[in-house]
Order: sequence, then C-alpha cells, then structure tokens
Amino acid sequence: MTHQNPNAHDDLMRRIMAYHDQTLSIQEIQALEAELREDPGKRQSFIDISLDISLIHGLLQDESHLYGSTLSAPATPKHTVLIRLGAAMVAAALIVAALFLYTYVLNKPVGRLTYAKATQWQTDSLIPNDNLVLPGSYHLIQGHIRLQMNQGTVVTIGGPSQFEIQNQNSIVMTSGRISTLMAEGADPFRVHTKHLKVVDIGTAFGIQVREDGSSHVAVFEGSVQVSSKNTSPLLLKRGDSAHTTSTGQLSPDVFNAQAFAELWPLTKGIDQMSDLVAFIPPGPQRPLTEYRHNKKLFLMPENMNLTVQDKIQVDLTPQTADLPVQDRHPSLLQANTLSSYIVFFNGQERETGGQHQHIQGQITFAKPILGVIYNEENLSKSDRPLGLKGITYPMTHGRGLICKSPSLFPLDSITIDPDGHTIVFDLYTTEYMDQFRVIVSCDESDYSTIPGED
Amino acid sequence: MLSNTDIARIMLKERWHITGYVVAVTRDVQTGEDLYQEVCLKALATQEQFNDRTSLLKWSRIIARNTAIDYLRKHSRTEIAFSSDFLDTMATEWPSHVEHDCGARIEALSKCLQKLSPTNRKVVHLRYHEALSGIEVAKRINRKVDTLYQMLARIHRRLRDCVTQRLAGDQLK
Repeated sequence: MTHQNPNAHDDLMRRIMAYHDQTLSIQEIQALEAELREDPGKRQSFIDISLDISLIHGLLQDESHLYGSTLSAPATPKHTVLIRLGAAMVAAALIVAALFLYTYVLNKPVGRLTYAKATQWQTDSLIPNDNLVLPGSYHLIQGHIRLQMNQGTVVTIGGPSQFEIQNQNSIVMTSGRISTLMAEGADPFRVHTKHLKVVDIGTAFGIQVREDGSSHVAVFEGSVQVSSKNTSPLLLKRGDSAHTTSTGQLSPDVFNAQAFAELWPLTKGIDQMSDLVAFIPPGPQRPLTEYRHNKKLFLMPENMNLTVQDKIQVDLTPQTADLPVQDRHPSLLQANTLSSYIVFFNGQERETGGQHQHIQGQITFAKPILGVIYNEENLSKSDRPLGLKGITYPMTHGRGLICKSPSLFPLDSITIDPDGHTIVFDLYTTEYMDQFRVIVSCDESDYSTIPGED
Repeated sequence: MLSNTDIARIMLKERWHITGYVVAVTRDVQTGEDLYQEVCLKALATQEQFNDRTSLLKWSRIIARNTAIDYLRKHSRTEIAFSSDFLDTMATEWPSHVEHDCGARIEALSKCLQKLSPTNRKVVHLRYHEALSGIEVAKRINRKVDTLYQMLARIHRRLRDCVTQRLAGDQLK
C-alpha cells in the first residue's frame, strides 16, 4: 500500500468507517472511490474492513443465538476440528454443511404468528412453531390466522386454506382465502395461484382461490398488478376486482369483498369486536354519512403506521382509565408512529325519532391502545393529523361522547380494559353522529394475542 | 457438473465473502445477511449448470452485485453509492474462501474480540451487533462521531493484527 504517512492511513480508515455508517456525502464517496481505484493497497484495506464487519456481525449474531450473550461466549473449536479431519470425514461434513444451509437459509423464519383463532391444521401440515413461521406447506382446515412477515407485511388467512410460504415476500395459494396489507417500505409482496401472479405494490388486497383453480382478486387499497399465463396483465386499483376461470382466463370483475369480510378486520389490526360493531368493508371510499344503522356502531380504520410530529390531545389513556370520569383530564400524546380508528354511530333518522339507542360492547385491538379521543373539540382537532384524506368528517354539534354530568342526556361510558388492548363502551346514542377515535401503538413487538390460545 | 449438495457446500463456505461484498455495497449488515440468502436461493433454483467451483463463484459474484444494486435502487440509494464499474472491479478482486479461510479466521476473531477493552467491546457490540448508527453509538459512549470512527478504525486494526498473529501461530503448530 502506498501510504505516505500514518495520518493519511488513519484518515482513510476513518472515511471507510464513515462510508459504512452512511454519513459520507456524494462528493466524499466519489473522492473515496477515486482514491480506492488508484491504489490497490487501499482497495485491499477497504475489502478487509468490509469482510471484517460482516464477520464480526455474523459472529456476534451466531454467538448471541447460541449462548444468549455476546463477546463473552466461548469460541467454538469446530472449524479447527473440521480442517483437521481426514478425507473420509469430508463427505460427512458436506452433508452437515448442506443440512446447515437448508436449516439456515431455507428454514429461517420468515415471519411470526400474531393471531390464531379456532384453528385446526391438517396432520401433514406445518404448524407455526413457537409463533415463528417457517417456509413450507400449510393446510389450515378451519379458523383464522394472522402472520406478520419479516418486512412487516400483514397476511391474514381463513380456513379452509392450503398454501405454501416460499419466503417473506411470497406465498402460493392452492385454495382458500388470503388478505394482505403491505408494510410501507417493504419489498413487493407476491401471491401466486395456479394461474395467477398478484404483485402487491404498496397496497392491500384479497384473493379467494376455489378448489377448481378459479379465483377472485379484490383490491382494498392502492393498486396491484395481476398477471396470468394466458392473458395480458391487469393493473387493478382500489375497488377493482378480477376473476380467473379454472383454465386461467383473466378478466375484470365486479368488486366483491364479501369473501374477506372476516379477514379484513384482522388484517387491519382488530382482533375481536362485539356483534354490535360493524367493520367498514374494504373497497371504494364512501362518505361516513352513508353508513347508517340504528343498532350498530361502525368502525373504520384510518391511517396505519402514521408518522405524527405534533402531540395529540387525548381524553382517555390506559393510565387514566381507572380514574373516576370527573377526574379524567385531557392529556397530550406523543408517539412517533401510530394507527388510528374512528368509531361512530349514525342512526336512520326517521326510525330513531330522537330516541336514545343503548349500545354496549367492546373492541379488541391487536396493538396496545395509546389513547382515546371522545371530546367533540379534540375530535375536530385530530381530524386533520389522523383522519383519512378524502373523507369528510361530520362536524356537527354533539359528535363526541357525553361522559360527564350534568347533562340532559344519559351519560356515555368508555374505558380501556386492563389488558391495554380493549375498549369497553356503553353508549346512549342520539340523532347526532356520536364518534370516538382510538389511537394504537405501531410497535411490532406488541401484539395482543398469545397465538394458539384458542 | 456441480450437484445441489456441492452448490450448498460451496455457498455455505462463501457466506462471509458474499455477505461482506454486499455489506460493502449496501453498507447495511442486516441487509448483507438477507441478500446472501437470496443469492443462495437463486444458486439452488437457477437452471444454470455449474461445471466447477470457479464458475459458481463467478456467477455468485455477479448475482450478489446485481442483487445489491437492485436493493439500492429499491431504496433510492443508487446515487449515494459507488459507481457500477467500480463495484465490478471490486467483485472481481473480492477474495473467496480459498484465499481467505473464514473458518479459522472466525475462531481467531472470537478470541480476539474478548481481548478488547470493555469500552471497545461495547462499541463493537453497539455498532455491529445492535447495528446502531455511528451517531447513536457516539451518544451512548459520550463521544463525537468523528472520535467514534477513529476508535472503530483502531479496533479493526487491533483485531486484524490479533487475528493475523493467531493464524500465524496456528500454522506453526
């Protein structure tokens, strides 16, 4: 290497460290490249550092997995032993290596089970073990499961379904129903069927595959590319559907999300809800005022994994849930990323005739609840940062809940269960559109259910 | 013609070299592991016939390069990376298991890591195990980022010297 002096070498090393830390500017990277091009010795230093970083990372990961600690684990002598083995042992070592590769590469968990309800698996099926999902063939006879793939994409499957998980971004559906919600920044997620390839390019969609190989695709959000061997590919957008015949003929179809009615709430982070709550079905966006029912609340997911800079004023948090209503005061919630849901009642005017409807129930969210907004003023303030674009939120007087006396109306009651995931409500609705908004965490490690506890 | 078992054996031995190359391109250790796995799966799934180890290695270098560049493109980071012809140069010069036996090196490295001072071990742990950014590590140890880079450079030099000595000692045995 042509190092003029130790300082120049130290400076090169420092810049290589900065390069690996992604803090060099474009100009600095170009300068570094020019320097490395010119001097093979410096190039060798760069290669050595890159190899060492990869070795150290891998070593610490492996030791952590083996011993549960890092940097203090005893070194394994297996490599030395292997090197000294005679030719007769090489064949055995090759088999071990191939098996290790199979275990390490092909059998590495690609996701985890975050929900399972009333599941029954075929005897020859793989079953998510220790909540980890491995690549392979699965046969879910009945029940529902939700998986979170390694890059964050949510996959919900309803039994009976036969499917093969190929890797963290690809599933082959032989039969059954699947609904997916791609995580922001994740690689495209692909679902293959006998005739179809559906590529999720930043969206949510569902596929139903029938036993005869025919299938129905419905796009809930964003857009997907659907292709079939026999016909030209289609680009489907929110509210579009396509159908393939058992012979693989692909054609646009009338949007129908009925088959995914049970899967969609799970996909959107709702684990359970009372019968008196109706989940707004996926598909074309409609004004909230179009949803009307005299005996049910509507639940509509708003933004998932939303980045919010400002603090949000909330009326109820898990910390204030135990306090008497009179002692609850609004508090400011600061969360980098969150998801929100709007829950509302909108009765049929003629039939309610000003009568109070009494609705009791609960909603269990997959992620922990951070806060609930039910005060009219706070709801209006939170519409802009949390509300869905394109939706007009009714600003009528009385849109919030009335939890504190004195009041001319019977009091509403809303609280958070000690599990931190469940909203329990007891509401007296009026002719106004009563609403509350629930904010939940986006921490991927905070799913509520213990999978397998059916 | 290489069988699938041969391919698996060679790719396993090349794990660190391929991962290292991908890390050099993407500058992300976690991604290095993931893309190495993608290269392995492609090697096992490809219809291409490999006559020998050399042809497989040549092929895997090209695929590693392309996979890493695809990753950068997907994450809109191509403009802040080395030029593609320089990546080609590095790919051809990148060592393989034959010239650079990682099995023995890992064993030596494991022992050398334990010889580092507690502060240096903490830096290595935070930067390469927890994969924290330089700024975050610097904050944790209450130093400036530039000082951290100097520390890391010194740590790498010490580890390399230590590993070289250990490997030389093993050869003398």
